[in-house]
Amino acid sequence: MRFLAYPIKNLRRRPGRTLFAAIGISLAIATFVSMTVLFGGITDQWKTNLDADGLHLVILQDKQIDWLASSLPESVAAEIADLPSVRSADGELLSFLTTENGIAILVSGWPSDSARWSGLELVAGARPPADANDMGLMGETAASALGLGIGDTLALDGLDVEIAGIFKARDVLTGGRLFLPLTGLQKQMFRDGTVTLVNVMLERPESSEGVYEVESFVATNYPSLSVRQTAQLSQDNRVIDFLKVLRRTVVWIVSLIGVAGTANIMLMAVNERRSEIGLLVALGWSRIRIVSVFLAEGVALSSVSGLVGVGLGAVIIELVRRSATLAVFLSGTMSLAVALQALALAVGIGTVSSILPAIRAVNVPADTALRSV
Amino acid sequence: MDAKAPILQASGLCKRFDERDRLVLDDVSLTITYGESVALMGPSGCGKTTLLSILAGLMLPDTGTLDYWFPGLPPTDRLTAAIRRHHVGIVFQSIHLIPTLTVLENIEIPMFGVEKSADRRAHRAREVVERLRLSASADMRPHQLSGGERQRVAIGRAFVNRPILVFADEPTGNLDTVSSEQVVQALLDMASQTNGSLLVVTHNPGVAACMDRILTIVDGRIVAKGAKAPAQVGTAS
Repeated sequence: MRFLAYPIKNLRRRPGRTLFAAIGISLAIATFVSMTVLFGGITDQWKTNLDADGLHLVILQDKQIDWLASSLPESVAAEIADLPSVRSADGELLSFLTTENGIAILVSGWPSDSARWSGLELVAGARPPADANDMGLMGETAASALGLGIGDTLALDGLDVEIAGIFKARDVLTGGRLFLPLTGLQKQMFRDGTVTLVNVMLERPESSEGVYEVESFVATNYPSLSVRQTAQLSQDNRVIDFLKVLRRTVVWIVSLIGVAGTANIMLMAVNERRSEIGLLVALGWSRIRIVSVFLAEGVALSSVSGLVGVGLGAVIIELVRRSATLAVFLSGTMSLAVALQALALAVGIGTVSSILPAIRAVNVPADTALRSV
Repeated sequence: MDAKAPILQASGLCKRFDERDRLVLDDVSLTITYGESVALMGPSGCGKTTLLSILAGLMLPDTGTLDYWFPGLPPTDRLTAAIRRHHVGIVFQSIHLIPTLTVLENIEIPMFGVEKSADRRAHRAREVVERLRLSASADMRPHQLSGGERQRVAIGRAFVNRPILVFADEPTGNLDTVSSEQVVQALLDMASQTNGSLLVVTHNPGVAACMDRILTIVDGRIVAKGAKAPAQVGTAS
């Protein structure tokens, strides 16, 4: 008999209890995997999205915590675009609109003449004509999730939008969005002449002169607005910060649940097996060997559960991907790195949760086996 | 090795349990020599198991001294885990076989830390199983065995490392006459194989009579050191 056979056989002693402990750890690991992949997808893609748009500066209402609540005159875009160091400046109106099924979609209004339309790679259909206020381009993630095709109409808070084209999902953030001509969205939202923000592309983004020129212009003429660099935005974004904190908190909570559950099982095992531990002490087993038994039991239980949890997490990610409601916001791909992190977490849970029971085990008096019946 | 040379010498052992504040052992002194088998008898609660625990290094006395002489080792006054592992065997009244392990695996348990090779551990355990005529049960688990078979497995486990000093606490305590005879026979057979010394705590005069010498303990004191009587193993009196 190999040494490891003993702790593994011990796990089969109470199969029901071991099974429930394994389910608990598996769920904890599955939560870790799905949160890491799905939330990580959002935070990673946020910066990629801004970079891929080629945007350098964003002008918003100053001290506005909620971006979507920002409001500024559309004319600011034209004034900024006239500055020598600016290549282009477009106003953008952003809002969440809801489908009849209650699915919220991030809708953007872009000026019909904006160069950003050409940045969307179409997989079907065509760009809406300049004067078509009720036609739009939808990301393929949203189109797939909502089951929409070219020519279909989507009702959004009273606005009927015809899908003129479907563009390739560069990431989940753009893939779940709908782009409309700015004037059409302004009318629908009763925000004629205003936008949420102004996106700015500089002639020479590597130079600070362009940033300084735009900042000076805005500070002089629109003191209630602020200029933010996109690199800074991805770092300062409160939604992303919130998601990171939420993810970290959930990982801590599920880890603690895993540790508590496993430790409880292991402590019960130690209490039930006091005479057996006493026997091992009496037979001359070293303390480290007795500790190893319980550590091996905990690690074996959590490792197998971790593998199951990784599989379960992958299933959750796939289910989210197939969900019409969730796929618009959340997406991600399971990676080997996340799987290894999850397994490391599982082994960590097994190790930490077995330490206290193992210490209790080595403190069982040597004469216990002689005195227990 | 001189057969009359002591392997264990205890002098003036006293033990008091705090919770009962009762003197369980009172100035106990004894010597066990190489190859000798000794029975320790006495009424329930007289301190037999406490004395065995102290002699086996599982408990410390309040006062008194212990000395051990093991071949190849310097004289020592305490049985460390390493010495117990290599040179001492213990048979428990409650048997304490590990329920998830087979007969063979239970016998292998004391060899962890003594024999590194899993193959050699298995080979040695199989030899012991054959010696105890338990080959047919080698792959069974404890709950599939009779009481006598379980105790024979426990004896195999105690002797598998070829210990030079073996302690047995009521090895026939819960067994019928036939099983008791088989267990005692197995105990003596294994002890003769290793030429080891044997200290057996028992209520059974028949079991005691199979030993070279009988010590009787009453109220924590050894009151009689007798030679053996004619052997007739019976149920516990």
